[in-house]
Amino acid sequence: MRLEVGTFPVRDVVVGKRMAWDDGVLEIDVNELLDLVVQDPIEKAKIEVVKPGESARIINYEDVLEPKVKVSGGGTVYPGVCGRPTDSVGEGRSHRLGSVGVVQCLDTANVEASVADSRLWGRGGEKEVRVNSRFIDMSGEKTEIPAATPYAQLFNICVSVEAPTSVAFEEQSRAAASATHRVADRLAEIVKDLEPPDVEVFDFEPKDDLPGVVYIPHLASAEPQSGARGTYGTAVYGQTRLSAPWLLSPTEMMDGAVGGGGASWGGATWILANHPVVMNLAERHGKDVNFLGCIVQRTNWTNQGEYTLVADRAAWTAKMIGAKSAIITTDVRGQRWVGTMLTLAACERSGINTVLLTEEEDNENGNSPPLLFSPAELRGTVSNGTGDVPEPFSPVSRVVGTVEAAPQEWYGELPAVHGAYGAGVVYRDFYGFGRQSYADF
Amino acid sequence: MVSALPSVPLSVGAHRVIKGVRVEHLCGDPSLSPEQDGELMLRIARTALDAIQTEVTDPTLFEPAQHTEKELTHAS
Repeated sequence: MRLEVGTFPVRDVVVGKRMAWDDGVLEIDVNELLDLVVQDPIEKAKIEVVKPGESARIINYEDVLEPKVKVSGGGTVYPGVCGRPTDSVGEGRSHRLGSVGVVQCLDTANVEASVADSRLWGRGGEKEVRVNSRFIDMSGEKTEIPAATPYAQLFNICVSVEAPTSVAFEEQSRAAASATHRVADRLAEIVKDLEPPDVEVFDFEPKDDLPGVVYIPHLASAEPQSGARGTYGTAVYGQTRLSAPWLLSPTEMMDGAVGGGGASWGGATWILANHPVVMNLAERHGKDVNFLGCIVQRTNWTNQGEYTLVADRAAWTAKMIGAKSAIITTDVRGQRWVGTMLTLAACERSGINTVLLTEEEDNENGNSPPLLFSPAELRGTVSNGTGDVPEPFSPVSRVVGTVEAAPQEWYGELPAVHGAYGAGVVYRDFYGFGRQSYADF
Repeated sequence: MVSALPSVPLSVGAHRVIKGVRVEHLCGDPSLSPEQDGELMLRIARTALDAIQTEVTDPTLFEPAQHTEKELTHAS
């Protein structure tokens, strides 16, 4: 697979009367974008820009997209999501706006929900069950600790949608996701026919003389929550279901074939399309490794037999394509972690050297192991730290992510975040975006 | 301990681990008839009772006997 990625760097975003990119300045017409957002069933929405370093806090976010578009090679970026075509991506040329995030914010202030609904879909009138209480702080010392989120370094165009109560919960999120995609598509269209200042070429011609490496990300499936017909959540070509592992080219990841929207474990489309592991292995392909591809493993299976089955499938796929080693990650704890470890053990038994890249559990002052479950086969782990943010988050002068004025409590100081589970309210660093490793302490 | 993911309790040294059905319904299976569901529940409970009377030196897995074909098929 060969993909050319043309990047249009952005050093400022200004609100104006036209849609244009000129020498790093992105001008947007908010009214034109709002017209794209306010479509059935969405009735009320707001678009705001926040910049790196600004005293601003983004709340209610469910996902972040990078504006990108296929110029040649077939397919549509972020395939299969929200009814988009499912044709394969990952070849030809794509253009992207660098350092820009289009943030999907779902304002659920008007939604009444039971505790159970809140837990499943991360929202509701039960304020004490604020599952979706993650936030992005754009300023302050915390942006120096990317535990506080890699999104703080982007120009964020926030699409705040009032949850349309005329439709069911899952549809509310899907409607907001569709609207956010329409905005991202329109922004990317600006640079589709321009000549990019920077073009990177990713050519995955096999280099058989170098050691074969695969990357195996584990992504939780929403199927146990949303059922077999669910369409919202972390997806591969739009498919959210539990399924056998998917073998993808790294270029498909770069074109957004794997994405994640969702309150409880998603919000990761920008991250998965700019994946540190994928981009780093891609850079080293042909130099010291033969990057064979990504084997996307789903988790949230319901018993050990199923987990063992898919673990063996992933290991066998890796072995059959010639992998000598694998990097493995997960994206949610609990039983998803068990599935991840079973894949790791299966790879080791198949003779594939594995390295686990992960955030650690809170060790509860030395009273608890750093990993929930470690099989005997686990030999090498790279830690992204615990995600602990020891000092409180400073007050901000602007809060974005609601259609009407945001609740006053969001403007004030927010408490420090302790331990890995606590970090879920900010950002869990499963992929090594942060610098909060032991080397920093 | 009855578990749908026995690797975990075995790895932390639980003495007697009984294999359950699924994370969502550990000791039964709503896709079975009420009679079959009841039988399955009893089988698991009896396995647990047998386990607790069995001397073990290491973490040990006990599997309820006579799984039907249906239980082994993914139902969701």
